Amino acid sequence: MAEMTRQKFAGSSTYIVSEPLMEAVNLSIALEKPLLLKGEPGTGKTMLAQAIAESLGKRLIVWNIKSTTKAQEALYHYDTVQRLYDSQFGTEGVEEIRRYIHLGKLGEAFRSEEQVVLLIDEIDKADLEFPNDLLWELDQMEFFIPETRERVQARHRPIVIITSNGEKDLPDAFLRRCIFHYIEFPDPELMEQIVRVHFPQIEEHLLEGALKAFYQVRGQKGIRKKPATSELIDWIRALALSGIPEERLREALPFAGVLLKKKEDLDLIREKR
Amino acid sequence: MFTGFFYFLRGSGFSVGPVEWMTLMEALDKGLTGASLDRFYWISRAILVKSEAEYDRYDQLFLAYFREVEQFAQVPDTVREWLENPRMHKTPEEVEALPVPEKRSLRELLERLEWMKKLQDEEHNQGNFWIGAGGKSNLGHSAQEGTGLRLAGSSRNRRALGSCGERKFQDFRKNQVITSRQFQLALRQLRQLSEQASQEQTELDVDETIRRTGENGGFLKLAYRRPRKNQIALLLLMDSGGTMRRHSLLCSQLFQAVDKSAHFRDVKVYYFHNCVYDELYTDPKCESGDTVSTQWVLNQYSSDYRVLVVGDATMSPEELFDVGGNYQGRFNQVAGVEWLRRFQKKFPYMVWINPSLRENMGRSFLVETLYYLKDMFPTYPLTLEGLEKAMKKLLRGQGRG
Repeated sequence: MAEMTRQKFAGSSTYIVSEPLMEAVNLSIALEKPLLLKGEPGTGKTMLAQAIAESLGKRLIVWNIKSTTKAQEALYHYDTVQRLYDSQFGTEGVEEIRRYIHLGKLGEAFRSEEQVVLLIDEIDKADLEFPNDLLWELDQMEFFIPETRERVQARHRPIVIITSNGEKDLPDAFLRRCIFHYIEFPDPELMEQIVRVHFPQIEEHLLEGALKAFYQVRGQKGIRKKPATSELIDWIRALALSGIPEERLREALPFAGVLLKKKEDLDLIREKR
Repeated sequence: MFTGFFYFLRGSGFSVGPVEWMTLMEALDKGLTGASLDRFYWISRAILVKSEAEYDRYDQLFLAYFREVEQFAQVPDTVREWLENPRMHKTPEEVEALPVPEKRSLRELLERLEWMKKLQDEEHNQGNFWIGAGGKSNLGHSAQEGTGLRLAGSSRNRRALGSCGERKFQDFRKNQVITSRQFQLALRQLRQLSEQASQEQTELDVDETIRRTGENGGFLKLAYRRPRKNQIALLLLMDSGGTMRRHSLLCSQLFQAVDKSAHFRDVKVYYFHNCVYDELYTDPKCESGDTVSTQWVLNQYSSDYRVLVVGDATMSPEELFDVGGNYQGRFNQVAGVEWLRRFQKKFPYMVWINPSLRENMGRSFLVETLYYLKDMFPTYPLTLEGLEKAMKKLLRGQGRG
């Protein structure tokens, strides 16, 4: 790790980043600690990892967590059954255990010849104890394979981005080792920038009208699932394609189904109008 | 001054450990914050704060502490006068020729400022050492961000303090996610693993494989079995009466823990008001309409359900012992205590969790029922330890202590 000129992340052509978030990302890279991201769904937690990889020119390895995911899966998998079968037929190389050891996502990131960005997506989906099981590996950036007596050490410490939707509380010991950032929902100013990145040619009055209506819907009391950035982008795309005049936007809220995904929310908005 | 901030945070009850603090010191040593208070705020928040629910509190503490720093950065009036109305005597070329002073961290600058304030007794403009304007000193009028400390002029350093004052994270504090993690861990003890016939056989059965392979003359024959599943089902009865209100935070922690526990075969929750009568409520508000008959509940669930009653057991004696003692809901044909006996008879695994046992309480007439029920059921306080003991009891059942 002799890179003297540390690379700095400053957003990318398709990802607008707020200043505090940028500081948090660069801090996590400089201190070599995982960055834990929380925030409303749709605030671009997963996309951030892509943007970091893209702007620093690094490979992105994604590890999607499910409720059944075990920490061990990230390290390696020893395919004993295949080996047993192979031994039955005297397949060549069966005495070599190494052939039946398959590295997981973390192992892959450690073994990589170049530094990679590792995204551990939705860590809160897994079992309560799951984060604790990864402490040593993320701290020391190495693990041991007893079967082959091999130590897998990171050639380059990966840049680790972890996202959580806050479904479960994470253990303190794990939190202590992370840099934490909560992605706030973008204010209208930042949102305008984000929309412009996606629609460079957008008409001024359409953008203004759409943003106004969007924040109005978000601010509506009793909305169960607030629309987020991705819904706004889809909605603006639909509006632009249909060519609906801006005056109609405020009174009728066309394509409301793109913004609101719950029937109760749609009914609520219709009632208020 | 930074160590002071650490103890200030801890003293204010904000949980910061030495691990996070050393991380922050490392960031400062690496010069990641520069001399900007903004960046110091963002970076310290990213390292020290681990939940958005704590953002608001951190903002307030940061503001309280660093407001003093801002005051500290105030200079005597005479010095300010020099800075605001500097008398210049060097040409721009002469200033340009001055060497730029060494870059310093925020900490160094503040220390430097302290002794400068003591030493300096005359105006020093266009220089690179003393506090002054129009020069290259890193202590002066509108010093450049990242290199020096502004003592007068418009200050962008105020931004961090300004945005703390906005308190935009206040909302998160109100609906703070309750940390029910410890309760969840306690509930985990309640498991009894066994196979379930409906499951697919996906686990390699090593012993059976060896046996069959042996029988097969040494040629491999694999055997699989069904993964083992927790067989415990939970029936939770929660008191949601008026006297329970002061325990509502703890109770909702417990409820969330039960709700999030995915390892039970089944979880059912019903509510009652002070005592169990002819009907149980399906909603904590205990309004008529959301009810099921208590007899139905008794019939519906098999006797291996673990029953956990959460209630303070504080009521007037007639509420427990009398027919018609239910003064809030419908007239009860069967006394509350009789319903409880029926539960006890049907379910051999039944415990009572009482949140008011945490407190020292005198013997008032309301406590009579508490002692009665405490004799009737194995009772534990609603604490982590109490819950753990209750779980052990639920696992073993009656009889064997």
